[in-house]
Amino acid sequence: MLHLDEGTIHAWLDGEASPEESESAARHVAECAECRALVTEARGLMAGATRIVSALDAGPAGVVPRTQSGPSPRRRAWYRPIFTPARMSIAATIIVAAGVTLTIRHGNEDTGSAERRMIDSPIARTRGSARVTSAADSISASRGSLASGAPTSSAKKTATTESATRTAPSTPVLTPPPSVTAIAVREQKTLSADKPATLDAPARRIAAAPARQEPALAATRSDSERAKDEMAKVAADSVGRVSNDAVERKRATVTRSANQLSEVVTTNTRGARSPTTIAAIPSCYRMEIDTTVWRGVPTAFALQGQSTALGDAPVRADVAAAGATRGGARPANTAVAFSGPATRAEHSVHAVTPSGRIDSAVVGAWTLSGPDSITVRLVSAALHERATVTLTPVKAIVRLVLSDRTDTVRVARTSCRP
Amino acid sequence: MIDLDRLFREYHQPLVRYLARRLGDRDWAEEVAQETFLRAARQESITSERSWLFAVATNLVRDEARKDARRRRHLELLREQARAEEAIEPEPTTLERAQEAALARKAVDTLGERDREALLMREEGLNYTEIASALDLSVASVGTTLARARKRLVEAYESLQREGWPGVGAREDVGARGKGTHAAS
Repeated sequence: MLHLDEGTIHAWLDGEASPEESESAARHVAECAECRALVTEARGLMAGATRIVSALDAGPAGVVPRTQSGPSPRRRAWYRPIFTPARMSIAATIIVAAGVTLTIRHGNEDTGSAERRMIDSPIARTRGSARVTSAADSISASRGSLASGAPTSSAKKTATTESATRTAPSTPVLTPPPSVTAIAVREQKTLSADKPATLDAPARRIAAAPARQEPALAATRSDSERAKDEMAKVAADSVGRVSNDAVERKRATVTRSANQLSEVVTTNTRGARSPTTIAAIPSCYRMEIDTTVWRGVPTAFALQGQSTALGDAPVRADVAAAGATRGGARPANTAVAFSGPATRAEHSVHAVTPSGRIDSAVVGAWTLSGPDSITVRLVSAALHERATVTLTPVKAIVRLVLSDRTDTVRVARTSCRP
Repeated sequence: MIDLDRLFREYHQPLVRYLARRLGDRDWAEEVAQETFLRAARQESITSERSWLFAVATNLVRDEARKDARRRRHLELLREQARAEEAIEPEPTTLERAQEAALARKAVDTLGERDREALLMREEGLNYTEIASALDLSVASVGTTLARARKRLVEAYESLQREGWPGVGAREDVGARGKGTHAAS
């Protein structure tokens, strides 16, 4: 008997196998315990991978500094100054006021310019010219000049710092202390605040990738190849002044409409090291699913705060809603609020009828799967299985996972009443 | 001409999310996404829009990722950030999120470039044909690529948890939790 390989199993579970392959796989799995175990393992891996990838969404912004150094020599030919003299004066004043300065020496007449500035710093200097990286470079370059030059014999020495670094003696390169770099980076960001929204340094760096030789066109070409051709055609300085107003406006609209689970928060008692309260979770949701495929899976459900094990007798909605008395009627669309350890305990899920009434029967369970994510498991009586969906503040479209299929579905909050 | 509004409406959010997961930096992801849409605006027509957009974005990221200094700085900043978060006592929600995200990032970074990109595209809902087109793979090999990526990702994540990766306590088995969720057919 030929067993199923991992690629076929994952394609089948992803819903990407052909109808014939799916039928063959299903038949084989029903007869082969070994492959059945592989399928079970694959389901676990798929769910686990999804959870891990979802955790990336909590990562920070601005981790990678946008500018560490000035433009490379190759790019200086096309680098256009985008800073006005007024802004540069402000930047220069702030840097000087911070008490950290650098001395730039011009080596020859050709590189001298009216913009020559002397900035003193507690960095050791040797004889010869010094090209200052990072802060001074980026600021000077914006004025269309960069201080560099041949070594001279009359370099002025200043106080040393621990962070001074040097390259070959003939052309020493001094690295400003971290504070200068940080100041310069902050100033770069400040000065860049009102630049054209799309065409800042990072976009330019992307555009300035070396031009590729355009490959010969084949009769049939993949999207990847066509995408590469497109990149090769873009000249270094052609990225730019296309208006992006429409792009910016649309982005804001999409971001606002995407937040569905926006009120999931975990709070903590002051000084506590772990969350102690779960509050303000919107209670009712509706999914857009194909009920012929997802037979028996509830299309609308309500989250409850009463702990219960899945499969218990129906539990009344006996949860104190925000602002309501315990055991009382819960207003429509009320957030579920309760206090206690924010553990991974399961809480019941009830169906919501088409008229918006919360049914008393338990159709699933939900658990807090992260600081701002909820995993909901819904029982399908027709399929004798549980479908899983994870709700987060940013996803309007989520993955609905069953044992042998997955689908991306749209989820939205909906009104409901007891 | 390309309907940029429609293209943006449909693909901007998943593209940014894919890039943010790929890059570990949402601001950077927004910039790359913006560059991608600018290039799309210059096209007369695009046959397979989603795979084209993801392919261009992936190529842009690769060009940047080849700069070693930037990658080293990225990793250095992550380490500094993790150390800084251990040193102070921020709100637990922020700390826990950052730790989970850092752990996930470290696990994802253990994958090969192609495996990582295929997995992230799949998590954004691209089908096998689109993934194959975006990454220059055969459709038949996408399943194998994803199987390998998922297995390695979960194993790396669990291994990091067992090692007690900085700031992260022992957690339940991610893969086992997933197995329990889905009943065997």
